[in-house]
Amino acid sequence: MRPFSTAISGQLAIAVLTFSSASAAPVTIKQLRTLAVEALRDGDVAYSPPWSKVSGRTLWVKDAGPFSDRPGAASLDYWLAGDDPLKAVFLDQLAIEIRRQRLFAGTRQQLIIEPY
Amino acid sequence: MEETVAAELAIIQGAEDDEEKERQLDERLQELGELLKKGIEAAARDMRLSGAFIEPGHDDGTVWLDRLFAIYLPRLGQVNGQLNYAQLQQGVAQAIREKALAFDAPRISVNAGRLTVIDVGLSVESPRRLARIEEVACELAKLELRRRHPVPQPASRAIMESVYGQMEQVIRQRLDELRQAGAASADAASTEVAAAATGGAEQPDAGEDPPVDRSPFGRKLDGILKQGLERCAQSMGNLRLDFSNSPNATGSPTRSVRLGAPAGTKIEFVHNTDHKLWTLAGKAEGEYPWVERRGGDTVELAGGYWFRLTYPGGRQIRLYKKTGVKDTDLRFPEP
Repeated sequence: MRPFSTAISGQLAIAVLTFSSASAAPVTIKQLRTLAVEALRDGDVAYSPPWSKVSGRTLWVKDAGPFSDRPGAASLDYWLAGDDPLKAVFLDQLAIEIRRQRLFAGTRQQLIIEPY
Repeated sequence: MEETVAAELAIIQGAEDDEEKERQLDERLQELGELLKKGIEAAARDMRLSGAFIEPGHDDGTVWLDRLFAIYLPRLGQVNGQLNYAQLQQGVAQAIREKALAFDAPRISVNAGRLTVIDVGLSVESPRRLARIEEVACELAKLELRRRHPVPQPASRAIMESVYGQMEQVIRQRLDELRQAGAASADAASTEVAAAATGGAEQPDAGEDPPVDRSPFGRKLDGILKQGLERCAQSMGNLRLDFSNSPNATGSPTRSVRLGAPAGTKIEFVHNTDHKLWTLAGKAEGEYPWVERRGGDTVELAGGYWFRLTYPGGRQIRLYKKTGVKDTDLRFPEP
């Protein structure tokens, strides 16, 4: 019902971006990937995992997101970037890492959707 | 998708002005969504399914409406064409049964000569305007939820049942109007929502509260409801009615944890992953948006945090702590 991009990757969309606090030192994508893996491995970020099921002839997928999927939950935990564009980008990477680990885990569909 | 995130990173660290960065980021965000959609649709094809429905990880209160049209109504065999009242009612009932709706139940109390009613509230934090058929679905859902949480007095129940019957009539009329206008289908809802998102209708800015102005249809329903409740208040001994709409519900709490440190200790914290990210970016600790609390306070926490404690004598320590599922206390060292 909503434009797809904001429906799926809402992290940037809900961030109010200002760039005045953009990073002083350049951060690399490799560093972001490593940090995302660490955050999940150490349990530092609480999240609700993605899931999928079949309903009739439709593949129903719920994306990764905040710990609670109640409206307003993002403001209670890690999933709001606020005015930090670097965090907004990191949240996109973190969501990819969660999907990689949890979406279609152990099925052929996991191989189909790779590489992220 | 990772290439797109790398491109986003390059954009925010680039030399363009903020407006240009924002424009480019919007494009990349669209791209991320499209890539994910393609991947999931490929998975659906591999499973020999006809398509995929993808819902966001964060519910802004409208996910149940998406599910209504994409999952519940098709499941009931209502895929094409203009919906009728029974079909919509069935779909809404299924959404309620499957707990797809986040709502605050009505709160009704009698005290000091007053009947206080806080109406049922659907939790919506989305700033988007609802499609007309979505508004009808919301009113149907609220009606059903009111029936499930009745005024706790037999005479009032009878009054309210007749009131709900009148409200149903108004909803039926509205649905008939939409059917005649060709606006009572899933496709019509999609079109209206997409038009609103691309500027076809005035939208509040992101972060603003959802629109509080009610349509004439909504106001008519409110009027009937209030009149019915007035009658209940009179039948309960000429009570005065205090009626209000439910405030928007917030997300359910994460985990309440008591900060166990000596009284007077200043406790500041940020998410540990933020701390690591800002360290990578060379951000000084003084620039962190610390959340400040005091020893003994209770806070909502989930995950790992970086704490900075300042004891009453001025001594400062920094430490990492993680909240477990069962944690109700976080103990900090004595000074």
